[in-house]
Amino acid sequence: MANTIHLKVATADRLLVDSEVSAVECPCTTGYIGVLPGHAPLVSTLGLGTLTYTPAGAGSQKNVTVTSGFIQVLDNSVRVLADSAEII
Amino acid sequence: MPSLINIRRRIRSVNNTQQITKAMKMVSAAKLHHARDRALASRPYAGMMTQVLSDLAAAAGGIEDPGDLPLLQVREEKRIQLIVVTSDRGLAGAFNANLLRASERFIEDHPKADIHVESIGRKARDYFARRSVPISGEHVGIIEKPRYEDAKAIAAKMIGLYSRQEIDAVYIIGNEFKSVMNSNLTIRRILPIALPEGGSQIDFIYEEPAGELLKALLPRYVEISIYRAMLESVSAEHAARMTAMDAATRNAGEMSERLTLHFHHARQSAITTELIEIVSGAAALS
Repeated sequence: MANTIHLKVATADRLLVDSEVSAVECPCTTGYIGVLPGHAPLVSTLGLGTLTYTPAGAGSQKNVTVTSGFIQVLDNSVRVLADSAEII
Repeated sequence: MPSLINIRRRIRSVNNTQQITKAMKMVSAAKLHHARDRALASRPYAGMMTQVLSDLAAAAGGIEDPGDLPLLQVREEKRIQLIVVTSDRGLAGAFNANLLRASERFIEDHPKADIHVESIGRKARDYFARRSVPISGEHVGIIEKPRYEDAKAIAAKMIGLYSRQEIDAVYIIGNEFKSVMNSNLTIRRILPIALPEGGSQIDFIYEEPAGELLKALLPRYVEISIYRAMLESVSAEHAARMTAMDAATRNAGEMSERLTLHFHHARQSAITTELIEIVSGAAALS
């Protein structure tokens, strides 16, 4: 089984992140959720907060601030549709 | 026969025009490039949005009760809102004319419906202002650089009207960029929303009820549809202008060549006439 997740973070006017990661933590309206490889399919709404992900292989954690939006987890791919987002 | 000075003046004027059309072509080429970049940048979001929606729709097994989701309610189309996306500026060949003709045809095809026009771009506004079509709103100056906020504002207006049942359907008509040489005219219904099909049937964990999620997702789907229509229109506009200006430059070149030839002929015959006069004058003297 694959041990990475494909993370895509997009806003209406650009694609911010499109890479293989090993873990994602993101701010849902119901609280932060962590996603690791093999996560069950999930759909939720995003709240205001910081999305953190760890790039696959070597690399330090990266942060992206997102406001409201959606997240879908399916087959080791995480799609984040943010109303606005900024890499910090 | 026009005088030499007149011909020379024509040549100069044609050359000046050619310089302008050439410059406009270059500008359009650069703008087209930017417009394509923007359209491409919005593609992932739109694609993901469609994917998520179709998955949700499939997982929900078809929405049984659209009463809860007004944006999915299909009603008889008595009052139609038509969003016409044109450009602010002209000199783009048949770009706006074709589109306005198509919207006119759309209105004729729905004789029973009460159609209101929401115009994006100056050309649509000017056109419909001269006709007896009721205009519900106009947006001038936003199409040059489409911003998501603008699309959002228009979407909010449409959604408001639709959920208050003041209108029964919303269509958007615009040009879609295919290649530099051609673009497609498209008419799309954006409200009520036709849920995209082909989603995978998967048991998702829902943090919120699927209905709530859809309620939040659907307006955004309308927004992105309008935003994309605007972006496509801008690309198509610049492509159309580029083609038109290219043709104009070529025509100006041909015309200038023809005039130059004409000029030389006229000059030559003037010299010949003069020579004959001098020679015959000298002959008469001797």
